[in-house]
Amino acid sequence: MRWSFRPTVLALVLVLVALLGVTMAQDDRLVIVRPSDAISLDPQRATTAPEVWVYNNIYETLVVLDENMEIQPGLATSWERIDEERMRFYLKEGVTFHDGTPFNADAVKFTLERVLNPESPARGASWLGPIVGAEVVDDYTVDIVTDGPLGPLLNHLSMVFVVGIVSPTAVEQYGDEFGRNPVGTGPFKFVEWQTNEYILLERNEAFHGDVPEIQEVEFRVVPEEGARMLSFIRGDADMLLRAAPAELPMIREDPSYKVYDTPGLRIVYIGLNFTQEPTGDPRIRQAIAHAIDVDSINAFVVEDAMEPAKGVLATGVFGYAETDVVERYAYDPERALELFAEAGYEQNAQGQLVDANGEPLRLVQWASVGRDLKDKEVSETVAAQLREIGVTIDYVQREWGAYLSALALEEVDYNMFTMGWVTVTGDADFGLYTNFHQGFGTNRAHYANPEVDALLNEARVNLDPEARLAAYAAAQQQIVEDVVWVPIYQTRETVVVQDWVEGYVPHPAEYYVRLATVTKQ
Amino acid sequence: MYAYVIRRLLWAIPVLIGITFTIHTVLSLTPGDPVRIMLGETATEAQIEAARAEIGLDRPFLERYGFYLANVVRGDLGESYRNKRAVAEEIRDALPATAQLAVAALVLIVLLGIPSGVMSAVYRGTWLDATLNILSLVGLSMPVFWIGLLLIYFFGFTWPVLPIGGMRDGLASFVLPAFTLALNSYAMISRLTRSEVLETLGEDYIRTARAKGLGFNVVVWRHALKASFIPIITVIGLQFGLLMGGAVLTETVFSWPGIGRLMVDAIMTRDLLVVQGAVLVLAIIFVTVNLAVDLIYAFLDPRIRFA
Repeated sequence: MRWSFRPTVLALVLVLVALLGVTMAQDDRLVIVRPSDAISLDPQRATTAPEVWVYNNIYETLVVLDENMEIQPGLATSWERIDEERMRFYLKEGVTFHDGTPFNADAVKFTLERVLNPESPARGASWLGPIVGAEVVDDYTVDIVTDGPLGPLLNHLSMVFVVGIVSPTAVEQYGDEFGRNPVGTGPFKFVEWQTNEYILLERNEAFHGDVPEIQEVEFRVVPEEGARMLSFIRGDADMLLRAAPAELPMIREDPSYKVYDTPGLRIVYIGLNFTQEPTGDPRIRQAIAHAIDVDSINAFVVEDAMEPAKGVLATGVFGYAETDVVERYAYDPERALELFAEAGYEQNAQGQLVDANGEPLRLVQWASVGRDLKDKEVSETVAAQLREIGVTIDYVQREWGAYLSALALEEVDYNMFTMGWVTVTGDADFGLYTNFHQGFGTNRAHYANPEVDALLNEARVNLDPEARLAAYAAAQQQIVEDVVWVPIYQTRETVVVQDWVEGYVPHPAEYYVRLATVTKQ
Repeated sequence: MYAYVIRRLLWAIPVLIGITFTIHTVLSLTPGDPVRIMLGETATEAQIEAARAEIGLDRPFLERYGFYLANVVRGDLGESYRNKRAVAEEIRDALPATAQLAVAALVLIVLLGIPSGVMSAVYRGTWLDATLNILSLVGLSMPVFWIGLLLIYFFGFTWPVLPIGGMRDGLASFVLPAFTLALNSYAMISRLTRSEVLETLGEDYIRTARAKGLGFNVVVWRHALKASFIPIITVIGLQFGLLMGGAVLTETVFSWPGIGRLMVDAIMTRDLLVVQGAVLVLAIIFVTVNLAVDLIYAFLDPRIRFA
């Protein structure tokens, strides 16, 4: 009997032909793999890490927050305070945008007005606080005007994802498509973007600073964690962003890779609601804090990928002060039970905490899924630890979008909630005023302490850095004593590169991947 | 036949309207506010209201849907909430990648699934039949995600001969994702072909053909297979629709810049018009492919007439 295998043979031939098409990595191109694509390369439209990683190499700001969290000159060479509501900036001359448009005071004013446009506000407009606009003094001098004094003004102006200076001519030319055709003054120029595949940049030969050595940068999207790791290990990419925590120990031991890490700016915490009983009672909040084993959560749930939190602010933030939060609320289930007893809850025969009427101690816990590293697992572990000593937990978890909307509702019933907060400005004002000032929308613990409010108000408007530091230190200790949050971890920003990559300087802010100094040997 | 085609196309209109309305309703009811997701936690109510007005979310549900439908009729799928790009542009960027992958997978399904089904039928009960059956079983039962990762591990790492993600390496880029995507449908087509051919081989006219002295190959491939083709083609047509819309996992594992990932990203940020536009386009493709399959029947079996 004769058989025709022709179709099968044809398929095999196709596969073999396909094999010949594999391409090799290029020497003059830096390839970076990351989990997701940018939404838009217009700071007006998108402000999350996947786009800022890219466009912080395209746009620049008046001042720059360096890797030590200090302010350095950027497009402004110097600045001086004119009065409490006005700061004057002297701009670098001879700078041009990638499209040839000259950079000047008009471009600064244009950018700021675009951000603050009430009809179509920028995504990050709310982060600017009381900044109201810019006034042109002459071609290379511009005043930034605030409504009332603003202590952290320079930090606000360093946020490329809000006030990255854009080319006015390009914005007008491209309109809504500007986000696909970004034009700034930075060390790299935009070349091409294939959605969900890659974004290509090339070096800006006319850059006003040191022109980068690397010719091109390709930001590649590899959504699946395992595939991302493999593509890096087999040498397809030079740099890996968001490495899988479980793989990091192996990578650290291998001399073919270099791991850069630095403490980040995000704190992931369990918040406690002051207006929802029984967490209004300080003894209950203290008991909860003692019942949560933060160290074992960090070791076994977060797999040591992050830093155990040392307070309600990340350590790199201006205004961070040491408090006794770690010692004060060390894991101590015995102490927790004592405190619950003081508040009127004793364990019954089944080990369940109940009040005098036999009603169980019931806490409603809200948790987000997929927002922060291991947020769901951390929340579940906290629930398990509290159940262990007899607390009845009503556990509700939601996907991030739904979680955010639920938190914004007028009526909320949670006693505890999991959240991450990144102090994007790098200044305590954005970490403390937002979360602990009475009545502020993101004060989700509904914490109200007039003493803390006064300290935060003072630190916001005081223009003397020393006085601000003192006020923030006092506020943080008070917040710790009141047990508003149980801080779990502070992010650690980890970037992995091949050993042939030199000159990368990691930044504590999770969205800054600055490539101008990077070389390939 | 033209009347039939026109009638089928007219029938597609209520189907498509129903699909867009369902998606619109489901997404509008899904918890999660696109504006809050975009503007972040610190946005003020004034900013939220302004952004809502800008993208038309301040209008009532039905008015928004009516407005959308009126625009679609004019060929305008609207703008993405997230980045203000035209939805048509977003789809135009993503659709070719998915379509190419689906076609590549379909080619594999047909080239491997039909011959293996025929062989399985002809060699019923032998080791070859058993092996092919096990292969089908494996293909049907293994999750796409896992198969994809295994393939990446073996062909991208242990024996690094193939690219493991993206489309930048030409034809080679297609090998692993197309194979992964095809596996499930391959198994289905192979098993279907086996049972159809087995049934046909028992028919009288096959015995007659053999008795006339026709060669075995001719009998199997020309007569038996052709007669079995109608159900096979039907399933292949349906599979193509599934391959287009169901490639999300394959696209994720293999970093494939297709429409599945566009939709997942859009759903996560509640970018309603992008989801709606993508589903609409996929539905149009599905309806068209099904119509094409029905028309192919006539060529395969001259007894079928469209009225």
